[in-house]
Amino acid sequence: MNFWETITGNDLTREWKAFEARAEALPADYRAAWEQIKVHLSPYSGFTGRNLMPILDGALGLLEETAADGQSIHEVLGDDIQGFCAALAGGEGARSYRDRWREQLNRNVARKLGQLGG
Amino acid sequence: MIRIVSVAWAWSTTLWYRIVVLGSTEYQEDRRGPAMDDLTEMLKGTLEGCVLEIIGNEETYGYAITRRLNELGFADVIEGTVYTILLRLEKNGLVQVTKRPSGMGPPRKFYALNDAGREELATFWAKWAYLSSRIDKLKEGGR
Repeated sequence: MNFWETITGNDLTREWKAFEARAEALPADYRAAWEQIKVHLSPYSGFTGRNLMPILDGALGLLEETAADGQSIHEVLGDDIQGFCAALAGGEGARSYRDRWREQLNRNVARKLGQLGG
Repeated sequence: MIRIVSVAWAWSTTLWYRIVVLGSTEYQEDRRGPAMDDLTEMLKGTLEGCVLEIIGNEETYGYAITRRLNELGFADVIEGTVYTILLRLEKNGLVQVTKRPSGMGPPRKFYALNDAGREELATFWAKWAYLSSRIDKLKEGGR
């Protein structure tokens, strides 16, 4: 990643397009699961989403491998795609955008209270 | 105020959790025998050790590990779960990963234990022996 790519993020765009091209080649039920995975991983995204790229790459790799094995998507991911995504993002302790908001709010309130001299 | 909001939020999420979890167990009871349908929760902490043991026997890949666990009687284990365990093992530096071309589809990732992995596996079996001996003792009514 060079300076230009850091600023514009167009390496992310390129990578994203490559993901979508790979997803296009999957069977229909796998494509639906891919859409679900993207939705359920987005809460764990950082500001740019760069942290999700290797995770998405791995998940797509899993879908490709299992599709080639001829398994149904339900055999692979079960009912709990959301739980699968939470585990992908780093287990139950993974920080989502809600945790970041809560932290910011608490910090701000603590600062204001400090200014009041409480 | 913040405390109230966060408590309310936590309460509402656990409520949803309860509805979803209770709903799903009820549904599963129809499909499987009553005794072995709820192993998932108990297995959670030990599945990682099971996967380590399987990898320790021979270098293998995700689908084969899942099949092995299913044959063993853990029908609920799916490849997605095994995949997240393998990711964690890889992140903790317990396995050595090699990409090999497969007959069809993309190349597969094969996993083998490294020294740290073998150490972790030994620790797991030691913990398991302790845990099961204590629980057996409890069942027999000893102290």
